[in-house]
Amino acid sequence: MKAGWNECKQESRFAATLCTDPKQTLLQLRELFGNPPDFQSTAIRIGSANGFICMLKTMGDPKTMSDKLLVPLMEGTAQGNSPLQFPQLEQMRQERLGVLPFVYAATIREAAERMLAGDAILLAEGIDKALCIEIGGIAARSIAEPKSQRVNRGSDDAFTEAMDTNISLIRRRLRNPLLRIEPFTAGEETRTSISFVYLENAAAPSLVSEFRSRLTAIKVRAIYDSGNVEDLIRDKGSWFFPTVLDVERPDAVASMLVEGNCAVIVDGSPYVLIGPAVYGNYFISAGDYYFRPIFANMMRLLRHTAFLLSLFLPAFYLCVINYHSQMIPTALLYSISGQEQGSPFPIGFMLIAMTLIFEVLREAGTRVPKSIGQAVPLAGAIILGEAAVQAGIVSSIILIVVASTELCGLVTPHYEFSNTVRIIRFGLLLLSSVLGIYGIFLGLVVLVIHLASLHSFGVPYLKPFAPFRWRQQRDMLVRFSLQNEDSSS
Amino acid sequence: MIRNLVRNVLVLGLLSLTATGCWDMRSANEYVIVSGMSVTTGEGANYHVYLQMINALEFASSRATGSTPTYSIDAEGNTMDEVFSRIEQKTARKLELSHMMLLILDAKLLATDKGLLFFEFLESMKDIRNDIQLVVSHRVAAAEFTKLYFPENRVSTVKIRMGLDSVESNWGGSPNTNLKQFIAAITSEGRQPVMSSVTIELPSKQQQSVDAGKSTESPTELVIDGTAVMRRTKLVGFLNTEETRDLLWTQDRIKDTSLTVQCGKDQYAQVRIGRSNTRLNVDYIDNHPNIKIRINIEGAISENQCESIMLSKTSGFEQIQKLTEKAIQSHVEATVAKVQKKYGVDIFGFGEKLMASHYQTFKKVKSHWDDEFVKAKVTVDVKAAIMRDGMISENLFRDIPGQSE
Repeated sequence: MKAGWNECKQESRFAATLCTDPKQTLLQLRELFGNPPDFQSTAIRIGSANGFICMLKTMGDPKTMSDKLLVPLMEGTAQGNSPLQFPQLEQMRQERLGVLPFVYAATIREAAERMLAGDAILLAEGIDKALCIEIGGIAARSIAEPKSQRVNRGSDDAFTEAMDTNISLIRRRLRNPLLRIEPFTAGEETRTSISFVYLENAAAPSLVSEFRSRLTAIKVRAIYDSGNVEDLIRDKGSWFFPTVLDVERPDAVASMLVEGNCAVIVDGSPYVLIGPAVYGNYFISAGDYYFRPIFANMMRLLRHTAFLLSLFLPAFYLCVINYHSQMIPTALLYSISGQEQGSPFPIGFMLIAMTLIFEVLREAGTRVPKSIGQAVPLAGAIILGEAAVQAGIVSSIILIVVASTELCGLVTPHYEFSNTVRIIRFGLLLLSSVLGIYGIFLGLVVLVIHLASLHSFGVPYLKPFAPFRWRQQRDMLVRFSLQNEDSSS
Repeated sequence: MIRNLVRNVLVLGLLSLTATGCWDMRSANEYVIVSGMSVTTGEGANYHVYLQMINALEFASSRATGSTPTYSIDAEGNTMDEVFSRIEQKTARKLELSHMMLLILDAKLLATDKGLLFFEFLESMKDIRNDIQLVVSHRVAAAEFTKLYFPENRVSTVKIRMGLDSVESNWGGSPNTNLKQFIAAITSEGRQPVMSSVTIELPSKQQQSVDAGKSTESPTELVIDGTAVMRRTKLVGFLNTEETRDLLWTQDRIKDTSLTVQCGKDQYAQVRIGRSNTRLNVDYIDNHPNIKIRINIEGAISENQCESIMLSKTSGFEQIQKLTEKAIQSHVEATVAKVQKKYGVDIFGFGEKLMASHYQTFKKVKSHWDDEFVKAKVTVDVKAAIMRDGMISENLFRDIPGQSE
């Protein structure tokens, strides 16, 4: 296997100072890139000297390049062939290129990296540095509505794949010079840019340095999405529960930053990572703060209840029917018993099978091409369910249990938490089918112990409930209404 | 950490297998739900038991076919458990006894000593709830109740159970007794147990068929008709519903009732009683138990047929108040006297009251308390507060031309 870019960089020919002959440098660059079709270079004249401009036309807009760079530079060229001196080039840059962001690269290595970042490289005769000028104009998706974290009321812009856009979305909401943005690069092959964002007066220094060290420690070949970074920086300890919050709403990120959390933006991902994230965070929707508190509180309690229901309902139904039939109201038992008469499979088997079918439908819903739309999973659910009841394979009450469980699971504002529920639900179902209600309580105990043992960036996962913090209850299970802050205190 | 967790879960899970497990499992199509039970003495064995079973298919709306929602299966046996296993052989399924709501005892069973053994069984049986209502079948065989069909409430034992609750709370005509209360009364030195009594008016074959729901005329009715008076586990007699209300009045169990008082020849006033409060006082005077019953009631007049009583004046209310007080007093006194003379058992729990207030006195007489009870002097003192009447104060018939004066 040939050496990767990281090792190549160390080679002397790439690390050496550029030579003053632009032709030579251009050749070296072309050779490094393997002379690809998007490597664009033109000979130009700068003042009285010859030079070259080169760029990757796929990383920057060639038209912008010619408008901003070529036209001003070609003005007032003089005849002759005398190599430029560095002060002359610098003076020319100041006069003709004005405020365009620039950097001087001293080696092939640096120049190549700037090209990959989308810069145009200006090589001039007699100068042993390459002037790298930022062009931009690369095609990007425009700001759109959030896809998975929608609210009824509140801003409707979501993060995009472009990091600059994302930072801009945050800055627009936090016009504060103390907003700190630290750049990182990770992924040996992908060289993905990562920004670490925090509000200096709000975030605890220990948290900031913890984040910094975890980001620095990243050492992988490739990073494509914030999901990769999340996997690398999260606290290990749980297979099920996320300890980093994924947010695609800039207003939610801004509010978390003000509260002292830290954010990590990964170039190429519309989801911004936020830590620390505790259990209660996953039940808070950004919209909660834009409605009247009474309504927001009702919704929040509803979400908590729905979460518990979706976790325990199938298991509870199973154990009540199989082991504890005396717990059901008599009239309900008549009806349930009637529906279960003559069903060919045990209830536990049917519950698991139906839940699996719903999982398949859900997965099919994600995979189905947009042109077919929502019809397939919806039709699948309705037709399959109805037909299964008609055929006498499942009782309608099992269908009710499974469907309401799935529905309850989707109420959580953060999608990854509903995935958590899906897995744990199966475990509880198995426990309850073997051990009855005793199994459910066993599962509950293990679950609580597990949750209590988790930490997210040093914060206990069940905070502020365990350890109990009275003052932080103002915005976790319920939200108190906003008050004007007392200026005297 | 996760490895620890997994290990702990596994260990706990394995341990729990010793405590419980799949073998307790009964899936819903393996058992048959029992809604009620009738017990009588057997021909060739101690007990003859009729169980009312639920045909659960009829209760799942999508699968109902219009066949019978309940059916009755009977068997004889010398012990109850033997009976249950014989019935299980007939149903080919396990019995789900925990949802049984009603236990109907035949008068024949309570006439013998087998009743005591039966209650012993009930108390020790873990599958049967101890809030199951006990009733005695009056005039008809207990078995009949498990075979009836009523279109408005397809399970006859559930209909009786709901009827018991409604009669007690809306009129005070049934001394509802569940197993727990019954056992407490049986073992109490100062009280004899009672049960509600139920009967069937005009029993007919027609009412034993689902076709009963197709006819608008159904002569057969389930009636909750009062109290069964017991001496320990033996039945000694019955009280009718009016007397039952007097019994409940002494027990402070009247919540809501309606009283008819006579106020003239063939003329009556109706008093709706909404609040009632009874205080008992039992002590000994001259070697006789002296029982004082104080009843405070609040009510409203719902009907007035008497021309002589004018409700537009307070004197009218006072008249009705006096009549009400007198009516309640005479009724309660008569009922207590009847129980004293005819049955000679303290179903009112006066002995318990005496035990609570004068324990030393009670200790001397507790072995023969029922004899003491018979000698007791009972005074009833009623205080009525009639507050309101209907929408109009003036009698309508005064305004009809040619009717008055």
